[in-house]
Amino acid sequence: MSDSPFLVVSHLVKHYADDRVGYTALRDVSFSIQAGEFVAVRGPSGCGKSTLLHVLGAMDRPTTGEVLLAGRRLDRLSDVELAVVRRRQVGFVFQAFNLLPTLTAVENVALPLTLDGIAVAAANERAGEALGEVGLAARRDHYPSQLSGGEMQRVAIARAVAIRPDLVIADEPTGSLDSGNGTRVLELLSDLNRTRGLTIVMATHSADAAAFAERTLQLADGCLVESNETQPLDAPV
Amino acid sequence: MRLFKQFILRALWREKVRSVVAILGVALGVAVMVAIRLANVSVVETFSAAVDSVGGHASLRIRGRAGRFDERLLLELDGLRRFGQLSPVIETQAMIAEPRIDEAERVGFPRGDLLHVLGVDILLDYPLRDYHVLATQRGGEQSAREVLSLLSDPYSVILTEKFLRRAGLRVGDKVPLVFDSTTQEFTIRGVLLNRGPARTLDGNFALMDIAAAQWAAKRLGVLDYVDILLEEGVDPARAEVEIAQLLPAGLLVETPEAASGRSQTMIAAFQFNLAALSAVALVVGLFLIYNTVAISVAARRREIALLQIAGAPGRTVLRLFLGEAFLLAFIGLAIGLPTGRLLAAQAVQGTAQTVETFYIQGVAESSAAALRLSLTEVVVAALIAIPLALLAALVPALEAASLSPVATARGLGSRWGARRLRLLLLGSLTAAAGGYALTFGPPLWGRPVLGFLAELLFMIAGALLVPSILRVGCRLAQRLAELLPRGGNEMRLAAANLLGALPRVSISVAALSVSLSMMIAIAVMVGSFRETVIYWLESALSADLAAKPVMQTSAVSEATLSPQAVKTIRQDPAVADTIWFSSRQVVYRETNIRLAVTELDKTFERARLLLKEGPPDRYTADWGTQADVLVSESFAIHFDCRVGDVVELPTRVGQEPFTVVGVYYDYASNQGTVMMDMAVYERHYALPGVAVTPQAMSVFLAEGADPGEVRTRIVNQLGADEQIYLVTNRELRREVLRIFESTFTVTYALQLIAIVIAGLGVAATLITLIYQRQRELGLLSLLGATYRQIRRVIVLEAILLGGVSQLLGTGIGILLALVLIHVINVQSFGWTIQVYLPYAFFLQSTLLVLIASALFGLYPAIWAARENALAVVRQE
Repeated sequence: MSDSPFLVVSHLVKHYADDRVGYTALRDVSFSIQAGEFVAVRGPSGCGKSTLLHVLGAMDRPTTGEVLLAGRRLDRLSDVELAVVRRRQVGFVFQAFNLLPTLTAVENVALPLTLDGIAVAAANERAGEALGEVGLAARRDHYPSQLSGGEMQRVAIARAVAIRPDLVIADEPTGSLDSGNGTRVLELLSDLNRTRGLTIVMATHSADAAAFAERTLQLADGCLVESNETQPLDAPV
Repeated sequence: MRLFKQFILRALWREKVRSVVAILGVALGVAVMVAIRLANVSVVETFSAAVDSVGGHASLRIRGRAGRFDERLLLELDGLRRFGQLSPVIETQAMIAEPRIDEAERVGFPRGDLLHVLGVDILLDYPLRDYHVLATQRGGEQSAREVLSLLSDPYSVILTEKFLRRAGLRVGDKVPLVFDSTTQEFTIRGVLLNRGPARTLDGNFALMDIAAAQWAAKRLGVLDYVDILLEEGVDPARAEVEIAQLLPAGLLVETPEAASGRSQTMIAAFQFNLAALSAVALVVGLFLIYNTVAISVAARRREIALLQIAGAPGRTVLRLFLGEAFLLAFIGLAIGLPTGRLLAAQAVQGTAQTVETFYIQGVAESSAAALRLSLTEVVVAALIAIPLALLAALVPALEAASLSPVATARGLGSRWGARRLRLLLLGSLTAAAGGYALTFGPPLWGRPVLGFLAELLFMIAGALLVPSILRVGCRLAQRLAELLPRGGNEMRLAAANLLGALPRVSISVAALSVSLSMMIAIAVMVGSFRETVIYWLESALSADLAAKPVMQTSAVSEATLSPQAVKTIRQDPAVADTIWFSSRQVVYRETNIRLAVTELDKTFERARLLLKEGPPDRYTADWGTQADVLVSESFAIHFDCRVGDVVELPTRVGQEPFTVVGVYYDYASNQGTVMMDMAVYERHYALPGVAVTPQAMSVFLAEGADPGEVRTRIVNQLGADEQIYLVTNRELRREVLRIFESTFTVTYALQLIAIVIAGLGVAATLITLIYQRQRELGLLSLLGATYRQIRRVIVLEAILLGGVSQLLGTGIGILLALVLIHVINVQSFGWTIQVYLPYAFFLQSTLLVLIASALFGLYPAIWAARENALAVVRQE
């Protein structure tokens, strides 16, 4: 791991304003993440976990503050540049899987590659490999409606890693799964972190899930209140 | 009701665009139907009202079997006076003379106001009709004797108060009237109050003394009919039978309604066809209701499941969705009715003009004035639109009511399996086979009912074929996408999206395909018809110049050229030859037909007839000596008549047999025409002492003569009082084609509206699909798709939908055109049309549909692209 941080967040503020009420989701949040780190973001509902992930994943812009991803200021990029960052540098895994129901597993995994202009055959080949990595090579031509919840989430992980991203953003990846499938998904993420050196930022409210990460950022009311090394799995939380 | 508010009203409000499109669809459909109905009703009512108001209190009418008859026959009717009051009548048309037509500046065939002229013996006729005559605008009402004295001068006329007000004329003013081609000046002697016959044709009515009218119309000694006002207590039916036995051979007795009934029958086929076409717009509107409810059901499967899990029975769900259809149809109806009234004003111009040109004179202007949206029309529209809307919604509503709550809650069952597609394909083939079988059916009640049913079945077959064709289209697009090195990704996604939404998009594509198929069918039919007519015109209009009186404004007009005009034309040094033509209406087997008279030897010599059958060579030499006739194709088809058959025609001395020696193509009239040589006509029809003059003449010039110069010379020689049209071959051809095109104006407008409705349906479907796919589109954005890529996906979807619709529409359209040409046209009008496929039009319309689809898709595409990645994750 390099000494210079891979992801740097400085004085990040995110404020939502509408006609009636304003709402500050993140207040002066600063931290940094090293390349290859697996970081969990914890906190109660509404504490700003998801908002933080949206900004880190180039989905949303901060109101003030800076976000540096591999040395690039995300807060200064245009919409198109942000789309390119999402397409090439960031992989996403979400609670609701978010697979396109009209595409097969392999097509879903290949989608960000083809959006980036990679030829369909090459994209499908890489998507097939990614599906193999998550243990779903045999289900490549199945539609999402023909897969179980755990399988759908593994397809989503394959999609996230197929683009060979710098960063994987996982927002409550086990939230829709039973504990067995949840554990398998977390083990998979952990494996990918270890074997491929992927940087992973995962939001979760579960201590068990957070235990798979190396470090935990604790949020409360939009503020970063703690940043600790994660306790071993068997330690009390 | 509460559930309806929560479940239906809120959803309709939330998806305003879709709701508005559905309502607009029904509103336009209803509007078109109402407009055509109103236009048709107003034309018929105007005509009936004219017949009724002119007919007055007469219970029976005596007329010549062969049309007008010699007034000396009246002497033989003396014995009929015991039945009641007899009043001889002549009816004709006059035109308010316009300033002299300047041939150089003339465009088309301009004309002045037409007046319906009634010539009667005032003393005899006063009890029969409801006359209220004033000697001056403010004077008292005149008695019959006083009116007689008002009309003592042969150049006197009494006009209606409505007409005088409109024309800015007063009693005592002089007014130039054209009878046939001759202008004469008349003095207005009185005012007819707006009652009885004065209400004819919106006040365009003139009363004259019978002798003066005969003189003006050059029909001395000739009568049109004799009306009978029966004595009180005389049974009309019995009197009709008794009078019939007393009449000489050339006369017959009937009720005044019998004649108007025949005229109405004549236009019934034309109006039936228009009504059938207007129904297409309504059907497309109903497709939208089906579409809206089906999409409602598809979009709310989870909510339906939750409702059912919460204990709502299936019938509640059924009622909710039928309620939605009712509401949409009701609002559509409320908007469609007044819109229909507005559209009717346009439609009546188109339909009345066609009716006037081809069937009944003088109804166009007054039909527009007679338009009104009656309670009956409102009820009829509601009784058609609302039950049909409920029927359209029944299928998706039943589907909603029968959903399995558990399967639905889990999001299963929204894809169509191969079995379902096979079933739809089978349904399509069955409908097509049924349609094909119906094309062999005979006309029912004289109308091509089975032909239209066949068209409907072909449309249904096409609609059921949509999912299969759409699937093939999407698969092809996916294949094509693979061949494209980089840009194929969006196409692949678009095709995959459509494949995933097959049940929903199929309905919209079906609606658009059906509308486009109608457009293609009409284009093929009209194009084929046009080509056929142009080919026919080549032979029919071979003369250098054509002459007709200015009053000859309609195919049914009987205005004639004056002897002076005929003489002047024939004597012009540059005129090498002329062919004489005349036609009149006669009754054959209780139907109005045309009896055409011409110089057959010259007609054949100059090859001016296109023959379908016969005649054998031996007949050509002596046309005038035999009782031989030619019949038009429509006559042959309507009356199942072939060469060698004998037709019994009414002549001035009763029914006489004529042998059919040939069948010719004729696109000038669909009434059915019997054509005979002038000599034969004179033997059987000419009235003693009445000169037979032509209604039109074809003029062939000597070689090298300039038609323009000849025309100017003849018109100048005739002077200002003889108003004739003398037009060159090219002008006449242009005018014939202009009338031809104008006949289809309403048809085109109907199709355009149907296509707009269907286009709205596609736009609504796309918007709804996008609304339902917000998450998916957001996901694309999240995965790095740019706004431009997302826009491209949606626009490609729209183009795929448009392309498949156009492809299918063209296929079904050609099939529908073949039925229109070979079944419906033949049964309605008796015309054979050569099929001509307008490839350039196919290409143009395809390009247009693809561009329009892309534009229709652009709005939802822009809207969708605005949805950013956060839309996905926020929903979590």
